[in-house]
Amino acid sequence: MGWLLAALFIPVGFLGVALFARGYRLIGALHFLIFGFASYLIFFPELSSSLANSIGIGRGADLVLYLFIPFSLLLQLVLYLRVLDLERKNRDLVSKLAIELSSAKGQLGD
Amino acid sequence: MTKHDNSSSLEKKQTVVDRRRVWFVVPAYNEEGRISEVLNSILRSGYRCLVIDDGSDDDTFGQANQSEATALKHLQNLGQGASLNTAFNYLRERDFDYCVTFDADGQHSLDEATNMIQFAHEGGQLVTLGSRFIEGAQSNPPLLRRIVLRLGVWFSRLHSGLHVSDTHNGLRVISKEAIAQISLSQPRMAHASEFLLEIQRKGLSWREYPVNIRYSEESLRKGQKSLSGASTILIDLMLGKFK
Repeated sequence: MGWLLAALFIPVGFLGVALFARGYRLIGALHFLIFGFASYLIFFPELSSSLANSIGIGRGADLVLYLFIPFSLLLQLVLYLRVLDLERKNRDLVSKLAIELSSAKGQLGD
Repeated sequence: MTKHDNSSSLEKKQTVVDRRRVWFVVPAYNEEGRISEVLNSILRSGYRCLVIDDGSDDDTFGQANQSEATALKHLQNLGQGASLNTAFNYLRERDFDYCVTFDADGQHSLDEATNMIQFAHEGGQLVTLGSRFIEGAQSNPPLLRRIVLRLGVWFSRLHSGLHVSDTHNGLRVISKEAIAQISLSQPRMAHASEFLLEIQRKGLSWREYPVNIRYSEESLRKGQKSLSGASTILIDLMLGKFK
């Protein structure tokens, strides 16, 4: 059963490696970290329980859920900033193209 | 006539402005019904005119091209801030004295813009900001918009450190020297707050001038939705800090 559960996280691990290799270092590292942590907890569930108990949370499953929320929010923020960066590059291109097309038109005497 | 004058040491000029050295920048998005009238009135007054069609779906660009104005077209809709940034990039390569940012929907008065240019020329300040809320202005925005604008003014003062009396007023007169220094990265309406921040960061001299805005049903419908617009501006400004 443990292997089956771990298999669910394998795509996350692959995605992390692929993102890291393509230069998206932060997102890739976060994906890989989630994959590693989740796999570890699947095979050693008692660790999550002891970790949870040490910080006053009753069950290991709750700890995993609580950790998942800030992680996923952080991922969302990183991805959103990436989108903003792409938008900025797209804006620069559209702006330059508008000016270039106007100059070309002027040279043609339109 | 004005408040918030931080330019007491500026050189005072009395000469008349050469209108051929003044560019009106008109960002336009789906304004085919009104753009010709606005452009022709500007051109008839002897000013130069630069239209940025921000990816309109209608014939705004065609109509702008039929006039004597210089028309640039964004191949997709980016926002008013991006349009102004394109215009500033275009103007930086050219010789001129003043740039006037002017709305395409007929809300701004050409006579007031003309008076503002003369005021900027005589005062010598690098940036002149239109204000609806200083002595001499008679604008009467709808109640909700007035409340949001007041909150916006309060926020702009905190954000930029400039003691402005109005914010998100599109009518401005900007000198060539200021255009060379101002850089806008906010593509949408948050550019107006960023513009004030740029004035503060670059230490540009500025003054306000009373202006009246003509609110029509159509311009209100097409313009910023007061509350949702303000929220979007706040979010854009916050996320802009991460860039």
